[in-house]
Amino acid sequence: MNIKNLIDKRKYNFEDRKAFLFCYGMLALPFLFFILFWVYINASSFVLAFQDAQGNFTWDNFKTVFEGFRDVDMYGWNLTDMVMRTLLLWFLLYVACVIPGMFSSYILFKKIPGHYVFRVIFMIPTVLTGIVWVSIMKYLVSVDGPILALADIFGWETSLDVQWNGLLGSSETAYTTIVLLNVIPHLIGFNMIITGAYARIPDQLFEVGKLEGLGFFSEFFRIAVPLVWQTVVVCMISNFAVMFTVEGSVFLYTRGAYETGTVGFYLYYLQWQLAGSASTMNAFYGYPAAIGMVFTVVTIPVVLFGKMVLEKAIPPVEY
Amino acid sequence: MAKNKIKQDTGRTVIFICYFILFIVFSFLCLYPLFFCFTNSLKTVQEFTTEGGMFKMPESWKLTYYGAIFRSFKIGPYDFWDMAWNSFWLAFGGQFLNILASAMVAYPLARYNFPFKKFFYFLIIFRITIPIIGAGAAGYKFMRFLGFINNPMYIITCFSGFDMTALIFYGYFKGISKEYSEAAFIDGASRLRTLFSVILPQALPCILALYINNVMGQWNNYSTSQIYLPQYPNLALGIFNFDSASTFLENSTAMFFGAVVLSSLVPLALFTSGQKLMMNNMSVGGLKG
Repeated sequence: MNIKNLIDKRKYNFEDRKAFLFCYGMLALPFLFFILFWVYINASSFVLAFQDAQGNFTWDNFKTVFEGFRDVDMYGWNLTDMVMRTLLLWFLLYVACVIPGMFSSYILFKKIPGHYVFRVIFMIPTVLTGIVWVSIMKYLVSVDGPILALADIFGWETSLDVQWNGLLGSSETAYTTIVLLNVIPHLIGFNMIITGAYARIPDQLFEVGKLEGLGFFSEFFRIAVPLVWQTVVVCMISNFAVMFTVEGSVFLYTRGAYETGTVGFYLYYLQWQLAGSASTMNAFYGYPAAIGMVFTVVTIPVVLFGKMVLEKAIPPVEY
Repeated sequence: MAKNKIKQDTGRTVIFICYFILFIVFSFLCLYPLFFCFTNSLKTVQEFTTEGGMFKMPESWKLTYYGAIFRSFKIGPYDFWDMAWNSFWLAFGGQFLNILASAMVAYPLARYNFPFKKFFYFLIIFRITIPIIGAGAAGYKFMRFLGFINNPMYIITCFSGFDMTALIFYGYFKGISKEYSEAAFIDGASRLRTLFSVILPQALPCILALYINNVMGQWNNYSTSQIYLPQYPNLALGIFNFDSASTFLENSTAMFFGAVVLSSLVPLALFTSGQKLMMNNMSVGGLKG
């Protein structure tokens, strides 16, 4: 099918063509910006990954990346460790927490006493800036903070390193602490988008479920989950897309120290370093672009496979 | 039958009781940080230096240091008001552009049939689902080339329509009955008039919900200022920098927490006023294709 056939004049009357003009007029400016600030930037990132400081073709950026996987890269970071930490954090946040998070949203949707107040309170962590949240959490897990005081009261043994530097200041506990600080708000919480999807389920279906003798869990798994599954799939796919870029506020908590660095953190860290330097040399741009490209190549099939599996897991339901 | 009903109700009650307790604990975890910030913003240096001082109640409940924040909460030459203004235009202005672009993309896709419609829809889905990682460096290079570093013109990059916001709008616009716009056309309204007089008023709750949600996100975003606009620091970046740079300032800890409380007021006010709108209007459909 060629373009000529698509806009065959015989198929469309004057009014149709006026409508097309209106549509293209609306789309033109956003499309131009999309080309400039998304397509061009990503294409440019692709090119930079293959360029040296002088702009000549090179594989050196990729060699540095693979060196970073084997040992350490030119800045002294090990990428394999970062990938493992990123994947664990991603799995806990965006896979393990999905059903518990959906269930707690469902309980709120089912109007548990105080549901309205809970919904508002549970949104507070997302309303406050990450910096505020992190600053407070840093105090809570510091040497003088209540968490270590509680550990002391309950007789939990902590190493000297932890006692001197706090939970975020020791390699033994820093990563686990960051994981927990990230996971807890995801585990119990309120997901606005999922709740919106629950609200669209006709009440009659729940009534029928009750008459059929479904218990609360069965009602959730056999009525609510299949009916909101399409929404879940959208959310999960966007979660797959951040598989290697989930950052977990590592930049704010530790700036990657104490074995806490994640890929998302590292990419931001490199960009931050770049912004701090006055250099416009390609060498500084090529390495992060190469890291990004490696992870993009790995992520794309995962996203597509994940989408396929999720869509097949529970077929879409029309209602 | 009655036995089954009793069993159902008991199960539900047990689950509700367990979750009610969990929710109370979690509410405490969500609210305590706010309380912690507020109480610490009232304390003197001496109170902080006592053992466990940070977690004790303040000796006096006076807002003494809040006046000092407006004078001394500074990052380089930028004071609190400069940062608040930068937060304001970046968040409200930038997100206005984003909402505008997303609505401009979603409206024709949802309401009209035209050649290449599927292609434009595919671009949204492609952008959401296919992750392109590590383009930050190239983006920075391009912004430098355009002269957008430390330039308020950077804000126009927010005019990005092919995104999740457009997808949410798409679903919403699609849900508005076509009878309204058809009636407007019969009455002689143009397409633009129909959009502004018929569709947008109906979509206003969704537009406002997304706008508030996005503004809150941008208000809290320190990275844009840190990377692209360091000479236009917003409050989030100010707090980030002040946390490590203020050690030698008198009462810096109280001032820091006071600034945290003040900077949280806007998103909290936005959320409190718009949470009902957001909760009722945020949903996404399936991704086909």
